[in-house]
Amino acid sequence: MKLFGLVLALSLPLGLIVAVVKVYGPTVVQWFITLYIYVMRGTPLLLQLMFVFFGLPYIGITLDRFPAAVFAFVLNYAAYFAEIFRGGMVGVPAGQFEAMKVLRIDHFKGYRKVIFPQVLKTTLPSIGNEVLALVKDTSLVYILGLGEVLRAGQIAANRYASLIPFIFVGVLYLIVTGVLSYMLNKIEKRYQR
Amino acid sequence: MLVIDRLGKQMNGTDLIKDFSLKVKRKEIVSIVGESGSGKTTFIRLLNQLEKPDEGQIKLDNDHLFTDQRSNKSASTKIGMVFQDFQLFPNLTVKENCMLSPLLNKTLSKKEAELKVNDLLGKLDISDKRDAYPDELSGGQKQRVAIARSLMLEPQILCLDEPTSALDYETADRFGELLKSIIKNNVGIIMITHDLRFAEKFSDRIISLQQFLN
Repeated sequence: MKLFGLVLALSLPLGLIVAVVKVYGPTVVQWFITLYIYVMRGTPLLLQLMFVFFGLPYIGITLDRFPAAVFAFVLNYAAYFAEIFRGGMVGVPAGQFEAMKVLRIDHFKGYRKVIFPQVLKTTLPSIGNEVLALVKDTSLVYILGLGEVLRAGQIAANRYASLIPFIFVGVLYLIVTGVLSYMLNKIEKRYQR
Repeated sequence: MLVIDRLGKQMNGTDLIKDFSLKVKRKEIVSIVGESGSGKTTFIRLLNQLEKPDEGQIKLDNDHLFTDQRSNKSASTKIGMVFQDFQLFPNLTVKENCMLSPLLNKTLSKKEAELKVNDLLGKLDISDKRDAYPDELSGGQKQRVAIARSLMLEPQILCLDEPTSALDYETADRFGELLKSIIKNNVGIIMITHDLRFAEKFSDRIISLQQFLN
């Protein structure tokens, strides 16, 4: 839960920054970002986790389990969020920017008042998908030996030779994702315009 | 008075607009006609600094809007523009659409802006829509909101791109009367249209862009 909150709080703004730079930044930086997104989306998150925690120490960078998990997750999720935001930004008609210009609305202020709310509206459903995926992906940290609910479930299943702990874990996930889905729906409704 | 002197714009190496001169006074409606691709829309985009001319001058009273390939941003507030597809901001209400620019630029206080928007929406007969969102409006209503939004900035010249393209005869005529009442407030109107009937009925002058190209 702590991992989920932290990753979400860091990767959403980072994703937005990456998207803005990818759309408006200098060409060289755009290439770099394209490569970053390609690598993050093109390799398994599990591999990225292992790379950061088990791989980086070989070149002298050693992170504790939790910071390693946060680092890998944020890099991965920021890439996905960046692509979602970029899609939303490109989808705003050029005429909206021209209207801002003709009305002498400053680019930055206009972005905040006019463009960004439109980007949010179109991207919220996709962001919601990623948020739910993140809840489930946090189970991957068991590979780093971090205690989490799936690991606890497996230990319990082994100890009692029972199916029940797995069902219990599934129900836990459903409760968390259910609450989140409800909240995401509320947010989507608020940005319907 | 808006003075356009030997304006030229090239596109892909050929002259789209060449040696185009025009004067537009306040309280005057000037229609610009011409076939598709004749540079009509480019012309008002030049006036609104959405594109840069290659040659010529644009002056408004004593302010140079454009000379020698340099444009002057501060003077450009005196020209307003209503897009063919209006480009209202979908996430803002009618009132917010109109008040956004004056409030962000601090040219009006909130109270002044409220008074002004109420007055304009009243004149344009859409007071009851002040809290509606653009997607709740008809095409004609959106157009009037877009006009109100432009008039909030008190332009001396208002440019309209194909204003009657989405209107039936009857609505277009009412719209024409509306334009006549707008210019009484010391505003000049330049409209681009290929609706000759409308242009002949409501404008003081009709200019064809083609005649300037040879």
